[in-house]
Amino acid sequence: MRAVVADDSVLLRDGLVRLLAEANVEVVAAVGDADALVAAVDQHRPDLAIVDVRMPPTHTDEGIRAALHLRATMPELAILVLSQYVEERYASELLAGDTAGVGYLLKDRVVDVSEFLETVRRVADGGSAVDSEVVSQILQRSRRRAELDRLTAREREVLGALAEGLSNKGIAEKFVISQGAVEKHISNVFSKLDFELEDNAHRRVLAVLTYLNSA
Amino acid sequence: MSEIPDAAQLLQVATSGLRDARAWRAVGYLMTGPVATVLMFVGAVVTLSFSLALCVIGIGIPLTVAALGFVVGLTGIERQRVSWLGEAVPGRELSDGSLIDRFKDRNRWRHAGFAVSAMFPALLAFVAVVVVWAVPIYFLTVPTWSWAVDAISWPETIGLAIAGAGLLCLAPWASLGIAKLLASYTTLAVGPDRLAQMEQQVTNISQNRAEILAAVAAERRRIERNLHDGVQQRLVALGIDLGLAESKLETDPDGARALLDDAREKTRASIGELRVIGRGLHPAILGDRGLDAALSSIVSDTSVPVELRSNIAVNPPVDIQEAAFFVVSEALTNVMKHSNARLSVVDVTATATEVEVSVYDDGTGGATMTGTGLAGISARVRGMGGSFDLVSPPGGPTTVAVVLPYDPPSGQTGVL
Repeated sequence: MRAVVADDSVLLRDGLVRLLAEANVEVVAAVGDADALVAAVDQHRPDLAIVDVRMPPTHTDEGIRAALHLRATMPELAILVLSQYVEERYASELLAGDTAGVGYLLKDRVVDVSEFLETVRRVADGGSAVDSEVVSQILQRSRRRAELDRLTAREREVLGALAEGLSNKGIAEKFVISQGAVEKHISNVFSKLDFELEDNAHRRVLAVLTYLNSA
Repeated sequence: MSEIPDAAQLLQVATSGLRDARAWRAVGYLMTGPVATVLMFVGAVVTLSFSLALCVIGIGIPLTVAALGFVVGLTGIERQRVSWLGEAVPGRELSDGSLIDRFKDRNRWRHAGFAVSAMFPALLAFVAVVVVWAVPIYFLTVPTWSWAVDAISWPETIGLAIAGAGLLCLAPWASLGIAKLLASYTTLAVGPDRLAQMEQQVTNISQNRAEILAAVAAERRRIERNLHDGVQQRLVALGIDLGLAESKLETDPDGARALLDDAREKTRASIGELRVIGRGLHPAILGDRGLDAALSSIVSDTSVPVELRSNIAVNPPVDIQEAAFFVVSEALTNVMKHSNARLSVVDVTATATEVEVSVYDDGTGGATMTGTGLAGISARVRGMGGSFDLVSPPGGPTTVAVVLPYDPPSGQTGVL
């Protein structure tokens, strides 16, 4: 797999390159701002781009805007956005519409090397990833209080994991339970919440998030 | 044991008024009052009625404005006359503006009103002061002619003489009192407008407060920036090192060891970074060793050579020291970041009453208040009653000059 890394911190770029090398991901370009990112993607046509939200010159949302631009112009490119803080608005902008091959993670996740590399693979393969911090904030703020209260603790955890973009297998691994148990939990969740769900992991993300954000 | 005052001492006290120069000046002020105010009256009435009459044709208006100016000058003379009693009465501010504005200015007409009315209290005061002196003098002269008049007996004569003497001793103080009363009319009519002055001060304070709040917010953003760009990034990279090292422990122990070394180096760098950030917020050394030591510490840690000239005779109060340190720190940051200078000079002089700080660099100049943290220093310094000056022509050199008084002069915002 070939990737492009964009982050204005040299330290972090270096770290990510080394990390990805561990997973045999070839970093074809490591850049420090949005314009260089777009140029590098254009030139190298990688499979994956890992992008920092804040980059020069204004250090606000250059990364997100570049990511959205790339989504539109090169839909087959998988994009993983890394952020220092939970910026929910950016997460929802990124996830609106097609969630295949899109991810939004806190930089903190990078420190957990094996989990991070898992997530990178998942996004590169067309899945999605939403940081668990973001999901838990959305769960907390959700106005579906009454419905959510009907779920058991484990069911709520499974719901969260669905929102993060994990596949059934991923959920089973995360909670160390069998896939059969996962499937049972999922169908319980959805009959209690009363909405239809597809099997497709990344489409589930959008469905769940949309549900939680509505009233 | 108090002594019983003897006659000589009593006499001293009693006649002290007659020997007080102020009292005689008060008398002079009152005696010349009528003449001065009548002249002022005539001047005002003549010029104003002439110019107002001409208002039916256009030229009257500028003429009236000129006449008002003349009247204000006349009242100025009357204000000065009050200096016989001590201090002259300060004037009040008159608005500048278009001709019509000045024609309609209530303050100017107020002066005209005073010019026209002042002679009445002046005449009254004149009469009063004449009476105050004439009565005792008359009483004192009674013995010289009463012997010729049967109606007044000797005891009465002596009584009147004594009363006269007593009243004469009181006359100077009475004169002073009357003079002050008359002067207060002048002060009230054309003296400074206390209300306007206080309103101006309130406006100044509000504005300064807004600037300070903005500066505080900007500073918070700056701190967040420093922490984000510096320390946080470093710690994430550090985490990667540790994560990778962990994964390599069995498979590649040498590689793991190298990563751990790297991790230790990054930790050291993070600690250093935090120390620098902390120093920018409140340098510990300032509390421990004073301004001189704190300044030496930042000045040595710079990319451009800095010459420090410090003349600290007396250690200023702590909040002033902090502000001075902060000024130097911020100004030097700008020198490092924007000026391309080859040399910088920091001059700090602390006397018994104030601290003067100047930061000079020979760089490219063109520094402005925005985007350089200078607006923050300026607001903070002015909030402490000090002054802030920036001289930075394009092409350089640049000087930032700050004066911080210990006790802000009254009438300025001494609030931080």
